[in-house]
Amino acid sequence: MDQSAGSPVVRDAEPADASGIAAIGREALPRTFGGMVDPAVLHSIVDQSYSVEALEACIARCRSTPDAHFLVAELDRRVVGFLHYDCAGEGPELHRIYIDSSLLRRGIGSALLAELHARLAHGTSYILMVIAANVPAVNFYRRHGFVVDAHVDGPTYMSEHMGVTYPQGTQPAPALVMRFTKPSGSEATGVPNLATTRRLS
Amino acid sequence: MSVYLVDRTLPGITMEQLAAAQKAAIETSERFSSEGKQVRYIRSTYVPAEAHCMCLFEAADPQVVKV
Repeated sequence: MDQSAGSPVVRDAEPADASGIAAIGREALPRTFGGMVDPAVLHSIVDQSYSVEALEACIARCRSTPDAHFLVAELDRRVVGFLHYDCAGEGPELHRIYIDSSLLRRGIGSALLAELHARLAHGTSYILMVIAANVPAVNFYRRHGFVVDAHVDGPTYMSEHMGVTYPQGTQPAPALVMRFTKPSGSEATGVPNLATTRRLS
Repeated sequence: MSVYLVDRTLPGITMEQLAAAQKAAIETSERFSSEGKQVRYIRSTYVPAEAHCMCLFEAADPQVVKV
């Protein structure tokens, strides 16, 4: 894409992007979830998941794992958004997608999702957790074909799925688990996708 | 790097669909390699009477071929 025209370029994150990603995450989480999620929960997530060191390690692992993707969107060679998709743990999940607050509603999130979906095999199904009160995000996911799979408590889910720990007594926050399924090869191209793989040498 | 055989049954596939699937395999292999996930598409053989397609890939990790 042409960066000068204001279109984001999406690429794999590199460890050197960690500080830019951390800055977006540390600003975006309190802005997005203020009033929706217990401040102690937000503080724990930011501290544990958005340190430069934690992000560098996560990016390095995603770069060496075929079914994990840590993507960044750039404008004028500046990181303005990111996405982290991973199959570690209980299954494929979009763990985080955040955009620079000054650049919302410019198609950056859609560009990140489009690149992820282009990379996924036909038939892949994955989930994400979104705080139910975050209506703009829920609507964004609905527009991109996600459907509600379950209702959960957000902090408990984050603790179980991402290993984030909180102080005792933190307040619950209703959340949705939403699911996206990429159409199978036969649905998308008319080619059935029944394959077996054998190592020959 | 090892060589992997991907074996598929494709009943009713047209030659246009087969060509598109081969093109997608080549392009996806090139993209994965450019991202550091080494995989090379080698060739495919299609047996029309059995609707049977066999594709050879060279890859460092079988998971990349399965994806």
